[in-house]
Amino acid sequence: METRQKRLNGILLTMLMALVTISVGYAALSTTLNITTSTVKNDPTGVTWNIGFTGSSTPTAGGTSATGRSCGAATISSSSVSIAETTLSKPGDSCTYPLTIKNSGTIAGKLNSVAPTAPTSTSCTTTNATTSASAQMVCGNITYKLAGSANGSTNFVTGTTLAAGGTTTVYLIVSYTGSSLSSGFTQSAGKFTITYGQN
Amino acid sequence: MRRHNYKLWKYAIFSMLLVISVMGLGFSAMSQSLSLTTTSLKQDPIKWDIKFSGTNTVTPLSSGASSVSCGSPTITDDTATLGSTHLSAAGDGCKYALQVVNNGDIGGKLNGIVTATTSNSSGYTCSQVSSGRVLSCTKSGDTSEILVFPSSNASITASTIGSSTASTIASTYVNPLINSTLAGGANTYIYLYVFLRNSPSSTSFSGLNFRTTISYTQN
Repeated sequence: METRQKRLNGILLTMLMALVTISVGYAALSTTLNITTSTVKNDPTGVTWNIGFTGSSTPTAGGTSATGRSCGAATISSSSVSIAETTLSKPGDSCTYPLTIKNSGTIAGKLNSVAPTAPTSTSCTTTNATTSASAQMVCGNITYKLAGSANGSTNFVTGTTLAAGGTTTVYLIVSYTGSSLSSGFTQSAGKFTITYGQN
Repeated sequence: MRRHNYKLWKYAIFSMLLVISVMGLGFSAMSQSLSLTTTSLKQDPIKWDIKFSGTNTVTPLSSGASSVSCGSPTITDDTATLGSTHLSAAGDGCKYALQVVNNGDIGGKLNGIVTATTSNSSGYTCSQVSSGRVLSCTKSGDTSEILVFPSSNASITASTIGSSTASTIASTYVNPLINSTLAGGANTYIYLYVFLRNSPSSTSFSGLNFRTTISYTQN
């Protein structure tokens, strides 16, 4: 009986020692890794974001006689251009406004979207700019288009990059594209929203 | 030791989250919308109105001894229908002076003249010379020629055109009409001439009908 107890104690002690050994061995095969950031800085003096309109714009009138045609003046701020009342009355009449967009910041921008908002007073077909086509609105006899050239043959497309310090010119072309004469009509404000994002 | 490591892990994770937050905030701010607005777009009620006024004069051009009859035209806004024309001898002709008015707001430009037969049982064969600016009709076995053409020249006679070819008549007397302009509120005359050149072997012919189309476009 005593012998048996002693034997049992011995087995237990051995098992305990083995367990302690395994634990110690396992604890030895473990490493703690630390990742520490010392400081994170935001340097506002070195990086700027600043894309906007710049300069002035003198419209070019197109078409035959000036009867029933006048091109409103453009008022330009950094974030907006407003065209005063414009009159186009017969086929071929047009007003073309060259507008300069400048990236005065230190980060290149990418043209993400050009979206038209139609005048509320008439039915229009609107088209957003894509990577291959310009944005435009066709409202009855009148077409509004943002193009990459004065004659409208080059598209002002999304996905293009405006480098830091760079400029680009977009042309607002408003033209009488209908084939018939109007009995007299006034369309309310039409709008294009040009959005640049970080490249 | 483990408590120390746990604290370090906490600071590391917090710092990383802070960096991610700062980066996220910075990225969403880098976007710029520019607006381009037209205040209003007017279309004035422009009028386009070029037409025959109805005012006209008919002048027989006779070689002298022959009998010339130039029928009076019937005129609507866009059509002048000439009455029966009788020419019997070389040099006979008729001059129809037709007034054109521009009662519209926009100037017009004359950019097309074409004379063509509408029906022909005269025995003469007609051809359009210089893209229809002169209609020349001849008859086989006959030296006579019927010429029809418009002009801005009010003083053309058989002697004036003499023996000039139809193409020469076109370039000299018809072409000056092309690209002529008519301002809003203005009027002008177009003279339509019908001549018989050389006497026909047959004393009479009939059944030759033609139309002269004059086109104006926006100037």
